[in-house]
Amino acid sequence: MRKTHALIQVAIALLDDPTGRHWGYQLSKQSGVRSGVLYPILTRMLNECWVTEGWEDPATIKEKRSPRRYYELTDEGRIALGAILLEARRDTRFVGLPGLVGRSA
Amino acid sequence: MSPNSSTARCPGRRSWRLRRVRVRPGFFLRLIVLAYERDNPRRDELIAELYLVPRIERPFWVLQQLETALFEGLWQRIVCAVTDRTIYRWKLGSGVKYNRKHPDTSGSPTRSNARPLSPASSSRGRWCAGGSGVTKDGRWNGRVSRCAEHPGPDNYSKNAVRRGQYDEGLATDGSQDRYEGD
Repeated sequence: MRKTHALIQVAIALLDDPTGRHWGYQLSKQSGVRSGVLYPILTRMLNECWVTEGWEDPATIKEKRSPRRYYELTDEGRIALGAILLEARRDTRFVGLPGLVGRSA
Repeated sequence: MSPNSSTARCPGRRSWRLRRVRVRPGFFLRLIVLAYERDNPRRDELIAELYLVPRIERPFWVLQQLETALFEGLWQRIVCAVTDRTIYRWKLGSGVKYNRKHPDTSGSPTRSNARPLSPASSSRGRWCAGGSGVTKDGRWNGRVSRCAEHPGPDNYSKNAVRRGQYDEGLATDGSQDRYEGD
């Protein structure tokens, strides 16, 4: 997958909680990537099997709304995104990207 | 006095009406997600996400989804329709040509072999003539069976004939029926 600023920011947001569930809107807020860019990235990650998807259990929803789709990192995804972040730290294009400096991949 | 003239004279009433017919992000989002294929999970995902977006941000968020839907959903539909791609970045090739190259892999039945087929019956040939989506395998069978009921070249899809995606089942030298005795 081509390394872009958006991908790095999404990777940082996903690796903030590597075992947790991530939601589209929450990821967009956390990474600062607008949804027009975020969703295609998530689709590519799904195709690469870096993340798996699932739907909220309707029984656990207290408000009146439909179940949301969540994304979870796979082991393969954790390794791949970790490697991407490691490379990005050495890449001059990503110097000064918030959240990248000092992150252990 | 007509209702229009009363509205023109009373600007307060007009603004009240505008406020009543206010922008409804949920409605527009439901229109936008129609750009995605019917079985695309993004449709339900976006609608579910909308209600977690703060009210003030919703119109802007919906506009962002319009961009996503145009480039992810609508564009994909156009590409699939124009290039016969089954899935984005995949291209539906000619089964006939492939089968001529590798006779043991897959095939399309001859017209005589297709005659006993009925809708939804499984056939050896699985090549879809035109269109997009792997789900059209079944439609191919339907077409074949319609052809069987009313034999004749006119019952074959004209587009498929133009693309050469119907196979006569002949061997590469054109001398015999490949599927005779199957």
